[in-house]
Amino acid sequence: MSIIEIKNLEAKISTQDADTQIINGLNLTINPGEVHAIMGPNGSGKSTLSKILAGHPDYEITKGEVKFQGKNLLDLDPDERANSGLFLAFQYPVEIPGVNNLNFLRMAYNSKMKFNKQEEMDPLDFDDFIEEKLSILDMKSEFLDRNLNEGFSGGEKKKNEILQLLTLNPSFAILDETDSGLDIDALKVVSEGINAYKNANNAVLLITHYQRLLDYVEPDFVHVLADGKIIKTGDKTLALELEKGGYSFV
Amino acid sequence: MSNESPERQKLNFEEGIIRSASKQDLANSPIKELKKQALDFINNNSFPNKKNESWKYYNFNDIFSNSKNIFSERETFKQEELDKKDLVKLVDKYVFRESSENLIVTVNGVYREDLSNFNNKDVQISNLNNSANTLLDKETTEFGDQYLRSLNTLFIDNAFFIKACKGMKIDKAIQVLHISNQNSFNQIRSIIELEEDSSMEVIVNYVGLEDSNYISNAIIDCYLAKNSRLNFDKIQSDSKSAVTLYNLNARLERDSNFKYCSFHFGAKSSRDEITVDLNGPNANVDLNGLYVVNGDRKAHQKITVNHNAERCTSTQLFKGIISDKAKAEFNGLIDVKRDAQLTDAKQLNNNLLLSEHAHVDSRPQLNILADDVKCAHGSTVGQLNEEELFYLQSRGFTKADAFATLTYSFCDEILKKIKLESVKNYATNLAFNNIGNEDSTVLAKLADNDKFKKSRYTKKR
Repeated sequence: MSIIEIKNLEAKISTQDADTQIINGLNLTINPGEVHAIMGPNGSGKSTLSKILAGHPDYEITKGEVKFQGKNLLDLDPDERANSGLFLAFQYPVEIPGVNNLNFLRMAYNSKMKFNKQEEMDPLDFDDFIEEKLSILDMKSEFLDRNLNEGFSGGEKKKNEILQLLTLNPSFAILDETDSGLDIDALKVVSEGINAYKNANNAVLLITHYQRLLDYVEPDFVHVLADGKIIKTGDKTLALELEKGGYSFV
Repeated sequence: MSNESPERQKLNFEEGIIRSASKQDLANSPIKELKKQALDFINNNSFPNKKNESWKYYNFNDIFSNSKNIFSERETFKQEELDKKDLVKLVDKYVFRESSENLIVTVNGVYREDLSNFNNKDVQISNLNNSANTLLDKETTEFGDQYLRSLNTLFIDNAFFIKACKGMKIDKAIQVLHISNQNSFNQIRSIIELEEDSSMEVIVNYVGLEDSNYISNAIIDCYLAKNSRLNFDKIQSDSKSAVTLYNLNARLERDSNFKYCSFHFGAKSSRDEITVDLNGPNANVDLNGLYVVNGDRKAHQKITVNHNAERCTSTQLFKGIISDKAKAEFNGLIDVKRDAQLTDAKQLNNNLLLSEHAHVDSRPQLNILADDVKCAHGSTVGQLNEEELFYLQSRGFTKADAFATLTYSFCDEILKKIKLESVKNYATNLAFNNIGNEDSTVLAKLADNDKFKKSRYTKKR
C-alpha cells in the first residue's frame, strides 16, 4: 500500500476580496521507502501543498482526494493526521514563550502514544530517549531547557524541527524548505538527521529551492510544481538540470 | 432578585451608608479623631461616580444591587455570622502550606487571632486597639480614592499592622487570608511597614463563601523605608457574586524595592487601584498583574506610579484574558515630576480576547515634566494566534490542548514571578477555571516544568 496517494487535488484560499485557486489538479503517489523532492518557482503552491496535507484551516479543498495509508486524510483534524503518522517540518516554526521545549516534546510524543492506545512515557525515561536523539543532531541538552523556539536562531529552529521528526518517528515526513537559511555545517547535520530517520517503511517529501540538499539526501523522484500542478517528473538528475537551466527550461 | 430600579438601589445604598455611619460609636474608638474626619467627609461628599475620570468605565449598578441586603431598616448591618468550625475548615482549605506558621486571618475584615497562627518574633503585628498612635495617624487623605478611604476608616473595628524592624530579613513569607461571607460590607485595612534595611515577603489572598453577595472595600498601605525590600503577591479569588474595591498604596524611600504581583480571578465586579509614590532616589518598583474574567463579569485596574525623585525605576506589566461577555479596563499612568530626572519607567498592557463579545478598555498614559528620562508604554489587544494553534495541532495536540497551552504561554510571564510553588499552582488553576478549559492534564504538565527539570538534573548527578 502506498503511504500517500493524492488524486486530482484542487484547493483554494479565500480572502475578503477574492478566492485564489492554488492547487490545480495535482496527482502524486509516494510509496514506502521513497524520497520525493518537489521543486518549483516561488508561488507555485509548494508550501500550500504541505499545509493542505497537514490540515491548515485556511485552505478549502474543492476537488480530489488524498489517501493516507488507506485512510481518507481530508476527513481528519490536524492533530489526528499528526497522531496517525504525518509530520510537517515547518518552513517558519513558531515561537511559543512559556512552554518548555522538553515538556513540549514529551507532550507531543505522548499525544501520539495516547492516540494509538500505547503507554505514555514517563519524564525520566523520556529524558534518556531524547538525549539519544539530541546526539544524532549534535545538539546540547541545554537546548531542552529553553522555551519552544523562543529566541532560537534560524538554524536552531530548523534543527528543532528535525529533533521533533526523530522524536515522533512518523510514517510520512514533509519537510518544507528545511534547508533554507542553513549554513553548510547545519545543512549537513539536518541532512544526517533526515537520513537517520528514513527507512524502508516510511517516506519523505522534500520541498526545496536548492539542489544542494539533494546531494545529502538523495531523492528517488524529483517533481517540478508550477501553477498548482506537477508539470514534470524525473530522477535526481532533473534537479541538476534545473539548477543549471532554471525553471524556464522545463 | 431585586425588582427595584437602579436609581432606587443607588438611593438605598447611599442612605444605608449615612444611616450606618450615624450609628457608629465614635466616642469609644481609639481613633475617634480620624473617624470624625471620615464621617465629615462622608456627610459632605457622595460616592464616586462616572463624572470622575478614573471611574468612567465602571458599572455602579453591581454595587447598588449587592448592597440591597447589606443595609436594613433596623440594624446597621445584617451580615450572617459564620460558625467557627466552618471557618477552621476554610482556613485549612486556603492556607499555603509553605508558610502555614506565618498566617494571619481576617473574617469580614476583622482580625481573628483565634484563627491566625503567628509566632514570628521578628515581625510585629498589632491591631487598632493597642496601636492607635501608629501609622494610621501618619496617613494623609490623599492616598487613593478619598471617599473609599473615609468609608473604610469610619467602619473599621480593627486594622492590622505588620512591621519588620530595622535590619530584619524575614525569610518565611507572611500570608494573610481574608474571608468574606454573605451580605457583608467588609472594610479591610492593613498596614505594612518596613524599617530601614529590612525585607519581607507578603501573600494576601481574598476569598469568599461560594456564590455569596458582598462588598469589600480593602486598603493596604505599604511604607518602605530606606533600602528595604517588599515582595508582595495579591490574589483576589473572591466569590463570583461579590463586588470588590481594592486599594493598594506604597511609599518608597531611597534605594527601596517593591515587587508586586496582583491576580484577579473572582468577583462579578472588581476594581483594583494601585498608587505608588517613589519618594527617594534610586527606588525601584516592579508591578505585575493578571486579570482573567469570563461570563459577564468585570475587572478594572487603575495604576498610578508617581516618580517624585530622581533615578527611580518602575515597570508595569499587566495582562488580561477576557472571554464570553466579560469586560476589563486597564488605566495606567506614569507621572514623572519635574525633579525626577533620570527616571526609567516602562508600562505594558497585553490583552487576550477569547470571544467576539469580550471587551477591554486599555489606556496606558504618560505624564512627563522632567526632561532627562526614559519612558516607554504600550498596549496590545488580540486573539490567540492561528498559526501557533496550527503548529501545536500539527504536533498532535488536540485543539483544546493547543488552546490551553497557548493561553498558559500568555500567562506564564506573570505566573512565573510567583515564588512559592503552592501559590503559583493556586493562581494557575484559578486562571484556567475562568477560561472554562477543564483539561487540567495539560495544565499539570505545563506547570510542572520546574519539577521535571529538577528531577532531570538530580538524576544526572
